[in-house]
Amino acid sequence: MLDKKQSGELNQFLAGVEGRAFVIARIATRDAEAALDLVQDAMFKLAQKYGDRDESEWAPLFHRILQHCIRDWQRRTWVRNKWRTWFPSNRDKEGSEEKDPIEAVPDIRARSPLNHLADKGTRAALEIALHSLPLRQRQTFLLRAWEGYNVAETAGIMGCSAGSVKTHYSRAVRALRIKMRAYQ
Amino acid sequence: MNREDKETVFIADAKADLDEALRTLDPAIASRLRMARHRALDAAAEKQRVPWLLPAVGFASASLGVLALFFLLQAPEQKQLVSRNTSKGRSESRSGSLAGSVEDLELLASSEAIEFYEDLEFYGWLAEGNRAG
Repeated sequence: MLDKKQSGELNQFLAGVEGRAFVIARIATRDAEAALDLVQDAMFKLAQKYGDRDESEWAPLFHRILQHCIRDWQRRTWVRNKWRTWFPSNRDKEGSEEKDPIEAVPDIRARSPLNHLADKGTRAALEIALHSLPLRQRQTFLLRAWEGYNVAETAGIMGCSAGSVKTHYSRAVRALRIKMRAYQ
Repeated sequence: MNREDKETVFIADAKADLDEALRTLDPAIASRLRMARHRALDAAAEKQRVPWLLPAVGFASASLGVLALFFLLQAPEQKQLVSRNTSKGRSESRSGSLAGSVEDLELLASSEAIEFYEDLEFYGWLAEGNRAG
């Protein structure tokens, strides 16, 4: 049973993780609206299914749910894109009025002489580099390097072995360093 | 700097960039996240408030159970009236269907497990994700 105290604690927990979850989802989707939906889904699922669990369990459970939501979104997007390739609609043929998300991504080479813009460029480049990684490598990097989970915790969240986590992480770091060479 | 040091510096820089991305989050996005959080908590609280309905659900389940039991007991009697000389195979199949009906009955009568059955789809979704991983 989710009592008032627990509800307050859950509110505090979600307030602490929602921003990071949004950044993670935005990196995966490159779409702020889709990222908001995914974070909202994850918050709903955690509150409804695991709200009465011990507070210490919330963080790994929340990340696990978020990763599942992201994976589901990627599957749906993949199927939708395939469907569009096979059966293009008239709107697709005539040229969609919707903005191409790729066009919305800042050009990482177009660096402004102003420092803060340069910093923004580096951040955007990092997000693009992370987005281009395979799903498992990206998850591992974000959970290990940014969220600060150790190998065992990351393995628990991702539902894989510690060995897989180590492999994904080292590959992710190597790939990211190559992609970000121009900014180092 | 050796390779490991460079890697450590790279990871620290990446972490700082991600922290900065979080710090400079658009206030409109932050506000929508806040609203989404409140909606999630309200929905969870709403779900928790439903327990007053549980006695009603329990009563409905029990009624269904009694009804099912009634038909279950009626059915063999009716069959006996129709043909008294049934073959052995037929009686075996009837005992098989009886076992199935008893399982259904358990499902219908167990009010404490209703939430679990409601959430089956969610647990299936989580398990499927793990298998895919």
